[in-house]
Amino acid sequence: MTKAPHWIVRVDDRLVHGQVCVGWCDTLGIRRLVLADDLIAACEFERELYACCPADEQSLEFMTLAQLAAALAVPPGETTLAVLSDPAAAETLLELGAPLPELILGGLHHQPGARELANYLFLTPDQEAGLRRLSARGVHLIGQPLPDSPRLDVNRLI
Amino acid sequence: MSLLRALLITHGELGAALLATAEEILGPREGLAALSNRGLSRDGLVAELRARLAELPAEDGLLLLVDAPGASPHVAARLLLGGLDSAERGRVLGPLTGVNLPLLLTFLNRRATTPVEELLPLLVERGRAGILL
Repeated sequence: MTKAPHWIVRVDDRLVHGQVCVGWCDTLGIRRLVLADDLIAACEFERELYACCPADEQSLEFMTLAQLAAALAVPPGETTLAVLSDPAAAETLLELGAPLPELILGGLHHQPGARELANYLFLTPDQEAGLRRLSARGVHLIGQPLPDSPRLDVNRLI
Repeated sequence: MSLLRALLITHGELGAALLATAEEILGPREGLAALSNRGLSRDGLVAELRARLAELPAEDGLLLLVDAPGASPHVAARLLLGGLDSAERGRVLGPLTGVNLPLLLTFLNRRATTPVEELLPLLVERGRAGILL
């Protein structure tokens, strides 16, 4: 049975890159991508930087977090992958009233003081605290770099 | 510019493997390095690139070669260039995407004898010509 068009919200500190465009979108036939980041939405250089990332059949929209929060309130016309840079952005979405039943943690790479949950998922104390707040608000946190990867139940690990 | 160096920024070990393979074919060459994106965020990869650029001898230039357009090595290379002043920018070429063995071998054989403004189009031509059906 084909799943109805839905939102997939992913946190990735590389933002839009090969794993997103090829690993997720091309593999699953997702043609609509959203990069939601207030700084990038306001910066022409950054927007141009990412414009060449998607394949020809894919579209990439740039949104502020407020714009994405509004968009998440209604089902998309087609399945859409939205990318955030950090768990804090997901908290902002909740504060703006967005529904966020599930958050995919696709790539948070090593930085000083970060704890390793998987080889693609390192959490600083601040990020981990933010994820605990998201968990307490009912967000299902899934560690999953690629569609075929095992789904890591992050709610139980933080 | 006394030596045009090359930095291959790629996924996994692709860059290191391409360099090792090119040197198997042509023999050891100077001024070549590879940087993998493995385990690095966007900002982490840009920081690594800045560190490599800081080590570049003042008289040398650097060509950035990346594997796939739009992938994190390409994005990081463009972010690096966007943050350089005009003096630094003049010493850094590229990024050139889709690096393959024919392109790299051409670079190594022609970098000392071909003017820069002709070298980059030649590399694009040879890289594309290496794909046949």
